[in-house]
Amino acid sequence: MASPNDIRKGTVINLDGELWAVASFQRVSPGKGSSFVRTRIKSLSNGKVVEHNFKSAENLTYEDVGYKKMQFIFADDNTLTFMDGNTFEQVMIGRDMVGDDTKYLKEGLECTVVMHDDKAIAMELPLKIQYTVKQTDPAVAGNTASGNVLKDALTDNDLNIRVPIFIKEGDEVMISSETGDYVERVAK
Amino acid sequence: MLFKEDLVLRAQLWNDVQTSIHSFFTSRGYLNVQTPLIVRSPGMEPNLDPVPVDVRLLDGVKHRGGLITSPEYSMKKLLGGGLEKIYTLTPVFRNVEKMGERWSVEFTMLEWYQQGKDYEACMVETEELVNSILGGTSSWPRISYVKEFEKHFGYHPADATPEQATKVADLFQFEVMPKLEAEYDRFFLIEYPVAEAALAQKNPDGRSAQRFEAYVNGLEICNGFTELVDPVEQRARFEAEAEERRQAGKEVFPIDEELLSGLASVRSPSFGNALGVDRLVMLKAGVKNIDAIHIFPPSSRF
Repeated sequence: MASPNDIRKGTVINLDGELWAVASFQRVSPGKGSSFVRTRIKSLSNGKVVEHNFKSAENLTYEDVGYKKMQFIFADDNTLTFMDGNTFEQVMIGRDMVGDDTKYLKEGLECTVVMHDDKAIAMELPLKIQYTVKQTDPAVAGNTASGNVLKDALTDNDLNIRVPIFIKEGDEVMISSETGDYVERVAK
Repeated sequence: MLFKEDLVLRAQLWNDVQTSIHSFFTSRGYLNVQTPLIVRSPGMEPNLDPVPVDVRLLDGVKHRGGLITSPEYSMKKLLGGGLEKIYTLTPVFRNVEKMGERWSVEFTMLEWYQQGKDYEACMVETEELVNSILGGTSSWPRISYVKEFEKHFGYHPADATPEQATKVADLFQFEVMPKLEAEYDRFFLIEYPVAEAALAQKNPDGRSAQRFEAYVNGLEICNGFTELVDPVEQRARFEAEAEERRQAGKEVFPIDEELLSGLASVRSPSFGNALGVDRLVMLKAGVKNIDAIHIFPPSSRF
């Protein structure tokens, strides 16, 4: 038995005999009522995707899964392909299990691939990912004093982000893959 | 360590927000008070997990205590001591699931209290304060929890059967909150079921209580009450919370007797509000990640 608080992407939950893989989740701790985990889960038998709320106090049964560090190689219409850098083994994951996270992928990015029954079923991004700023407007003088401290920018893999106004084209920035926010500038 | 530009920007952001808060309350006649961080009773709420502290005096005497989860107990003692309008801006501490994203073991709380006024007056001040920092106009919609619940589910929470009653909070959270957050940028949720506002004064009809929360862009930023100032009821509530903690295997800290003995001197109505300043700063910065606003980002601290 396990707690919903341990849910990760790719966690396989046994609900009355049917296996569901977690595609995405969000922990919610409201001031009222009990805390819960809001999930999108996919049936491993028929591919159906549903939304489901698990209360933190529930007891769940998880199936064993394995985790492998693999590099993202490329995407096509329905799948994303990852490779093990040591064995050159390649696996594919359906886009429906990756969802919005797809936008953070760039060639060579090391991710954690979740394996179940010898199949790759999901992947976890690093919490923070480094990108090069490919395009952003120069800072506008006098805009720093209050509010309005962010501006639009585009990364090397065409991800739209918001960065502080001092960031210049060519700078390296760290972005949170959980919220999409700029976290810090890092050394080139 | 962050680069200098990030440090300056974030320090400036916090400076601006703190300066706005101090001038807001000073201009309204509130007294800024400092409350202790290490206390014997750091908080009784069953859902909170205080950070315990062992104090060892040099003469060998040991005291078990903890870091405050909120300055509430100290603030209410000051009301009992006769202070009429007080506010504090203080670090608070809660063990959390993880560091980063939306969580930190240490964050900044703004609490303010006023005797002789109820939660309506507090909501007006709340929206004026938030607007003074984020900009925007007043008269945020007031959404009644109990009315909204009745609209969706066909019965008033006060008329729920014992079986229905256990589901009210979850139904509201799962079915109603997402719709409200999608519909309104800023709003107050008011008139809570009595069961979810044990420390708030009841409305005259007895079917809801004077608790409110403010939501800004989907973030809950504060929780306020027309405070219950009945020491008997407060003790019963503390004892129930202590029992819940015991059953959950959590450390039970002693009931704060100084708070209970002072409560009888607090006038009714009195309001109190607790606002998460980190969230306000995140809103001002336009980010959803707590790491992005701190000069010492939580996720890098342990």
